[in-house]
Amino acid sequence: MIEFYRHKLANGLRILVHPDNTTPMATVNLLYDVGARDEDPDKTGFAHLFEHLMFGGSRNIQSYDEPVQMVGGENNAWTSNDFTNYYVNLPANNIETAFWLESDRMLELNFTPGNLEVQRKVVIEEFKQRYLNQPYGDIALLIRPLAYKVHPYSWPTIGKDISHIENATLDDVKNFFYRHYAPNNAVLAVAGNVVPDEVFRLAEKWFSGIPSRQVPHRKLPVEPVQTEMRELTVKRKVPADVLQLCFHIGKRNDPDFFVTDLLSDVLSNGPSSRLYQKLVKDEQLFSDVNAYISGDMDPGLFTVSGRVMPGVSVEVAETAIWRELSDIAGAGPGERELQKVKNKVESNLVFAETSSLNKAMNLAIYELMGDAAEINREIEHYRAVTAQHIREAAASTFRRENCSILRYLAENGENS
Amino acid sequence: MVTDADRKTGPDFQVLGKAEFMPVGGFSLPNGIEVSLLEGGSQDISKIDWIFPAGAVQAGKPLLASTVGNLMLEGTKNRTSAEISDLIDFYGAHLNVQSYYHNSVLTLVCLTKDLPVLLPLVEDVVRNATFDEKEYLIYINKRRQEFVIDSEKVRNLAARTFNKVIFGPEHPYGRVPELEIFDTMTRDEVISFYKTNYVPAGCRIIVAGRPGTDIQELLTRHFGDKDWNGGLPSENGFPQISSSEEKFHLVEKEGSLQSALRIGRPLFNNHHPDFIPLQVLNTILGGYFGSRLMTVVREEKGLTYGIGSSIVSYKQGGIWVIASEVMGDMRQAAVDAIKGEMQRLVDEPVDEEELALVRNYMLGEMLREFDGPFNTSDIYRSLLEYGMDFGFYSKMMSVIREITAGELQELAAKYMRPEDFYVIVAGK
Repeated sequence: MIEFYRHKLANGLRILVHPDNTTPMATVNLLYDVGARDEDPDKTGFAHLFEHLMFGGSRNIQSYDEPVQMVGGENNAWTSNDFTNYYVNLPANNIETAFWLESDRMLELNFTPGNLEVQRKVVIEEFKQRYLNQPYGDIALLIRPLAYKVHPYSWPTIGKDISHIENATLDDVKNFFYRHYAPNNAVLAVAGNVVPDEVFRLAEKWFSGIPSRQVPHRKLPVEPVQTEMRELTVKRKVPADVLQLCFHIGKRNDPDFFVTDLLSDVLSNGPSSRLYQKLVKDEQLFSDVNAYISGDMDPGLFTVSGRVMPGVSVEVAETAIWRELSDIAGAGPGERELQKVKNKVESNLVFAETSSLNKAMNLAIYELMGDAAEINREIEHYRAVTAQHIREAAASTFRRENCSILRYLAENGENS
Repeated sequence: MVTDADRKTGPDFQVLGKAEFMPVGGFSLPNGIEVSLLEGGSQDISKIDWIFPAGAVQAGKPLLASTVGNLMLEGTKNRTSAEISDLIDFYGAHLNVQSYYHNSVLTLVCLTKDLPVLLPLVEDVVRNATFDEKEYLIYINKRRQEFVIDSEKVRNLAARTFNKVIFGPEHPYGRVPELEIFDTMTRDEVISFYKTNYVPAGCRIIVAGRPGTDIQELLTRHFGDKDWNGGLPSENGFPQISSSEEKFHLVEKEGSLQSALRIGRPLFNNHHPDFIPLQVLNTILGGYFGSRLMTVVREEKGLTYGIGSSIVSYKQGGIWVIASEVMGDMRQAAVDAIKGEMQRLVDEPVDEEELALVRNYMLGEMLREFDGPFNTSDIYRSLLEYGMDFGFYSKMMSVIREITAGELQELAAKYMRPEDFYVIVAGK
């Protein structure tokens, strides 16, 4: 149970507070309702580039990081297809500094050509380090446009292409800020050694002077139903073949989200899971195999991916995956198997409560999803899932017509 | 509401006061194993570490210690690998073994209520592992695959070469695994190492969280057996380090867009009187996001996504190393920029504003590192290896508060001479 308190400012900023006096720290977390899906298809990678620019200084504060360090804090941010999140973790008696910093950069960012130039280069290096210079790094760049033909999930947060980041202008960046970075488009969550009324007072003090902004109503193109299997084979300088199968599933807020989540757990969460025991241990067709869901706000993907053992043919490996998917769609999980994955969910919830960062971030995310109180109702939704639900979800998800498959082959391997 | 003036100055803040460390309790088991207890936190969860003298140093060769540690979990006289993993997963628990140079640590994290069911399992794994032939082969194949893939990454090539260059290829800290090792290691060696080193002599247990009042009884029952004995672990004698004569090493990797850099030198461990003061100098150089290296190499020149420096202590030595993956075509510019920042610390004293920032940042980091019983127990465990207690961190707090720019500059002059540093490049 995560106890929390609410408040809302006149400009629309929602505030949530979870007091926890077992720690001397506090986390101040600000989540903006903007992500890669809100980008123009010819100007992708912006939400993420923007996240970097947020650290270059704001109207009254030259450097964001220095005041954080000065009060003994540390901070970071992440961007996804749906959201952009910023957090500061600092000694609780210094939280006002976080309010000062976050409110100033929500008010107005320091838009300078110098700042854009530096971050542009940093993001380009990030593109290379994570996506181009690592074995298997470009898988996301290949599978997304295969699975999505129309919806903006067809590109990853880093962007479709390095050139989009190379060509970004200061005006592009300013427009992005004023369209999406607004108090009425954000949730502020604070967890740790704090008193709710004090937090609300600080929020009024620092954030109420920021005007609400005209955030465009989100109207994204709907991905049409996929009607036949899509396949892509590429060759790369990697030591082993990788197979990745993506299936379309529903949205994070759909009632069957919990069913699909447990389906992925039954398949691959933990060493006793089906895919690991059958495909890695028993049949030794793969050296590693994973099944996971995207948890996206718009209809997302269920991914099954595996690294094929040398000497094994890709056809044999692929057939084995389909066999496992069809087994679970036919017979469903056993009683103990289902109880096991539910137990894991429960224990993970307990472990997550040890971190004020985790709690603050999750409160904010649940609020943007619709209602922060869901955070305490989750466990009931998981407990209500039956073996029948899982069987049905497997049957409707794991169809060839619903599948986009990437065969990522080792250039000099026996399969290429 | 605030005024523009308020926004320009910013709010008042406090600097970290006295550090308060969790009290550490404990007891001994009938067979002599010492158990430390760090109780606290808000949840009824437990983390238990079993430390065994079963690291790479005792093993005498690469791969052996970690193989034994991982394979212990893959089958005992009483349970198959599938049964063990099923039990762990059923209780939503985590059990794994991590191998280091001088020890291996088996860690269980679980809900406290499940300890009576899980501790017998851990006892079985520690005392009755069988290293089944089939499991052994599956494991070796998997590890070999991972090794091949890891060897494609420039950062791993740079890290391995760096250790080899600093300590020497025969030294336990410098030895690097080669592909052949996966074929020359035998199951017999694995079993023999397990029998000799996973024994009460030299074993230590650390419990953290809210383990409940039965914990002493449970640990005594499962790990206190006087009849549990085995071999006598040895550290195989410790050679001198044998650094390379050559200061520059390039490991070419075709097609690299980025090169991984390791620039560093041999140093000493945390017993040395200059170790703590050097931590402050290191933080300024590359130990946080606002460091000299991050500011110049990443923010000003855009040559990298990340760069940092660390002073690492080992039981028998230490290193100072700067690490980064930089734009391939600009590798020389990156190396020059790094060397330039090192020289600047030798030539110019740090100004008071920057020093104040680093002091406060380091004190905040300490608060974070000690936040909660699990974090605190990790630090406690790392101090044990050196025969130290939390007093080390009290001392660190004083040094952080009191060290002067003059002292820092003296340290720079002594330890940052360019001719003492090695440069390793993997890429181009």
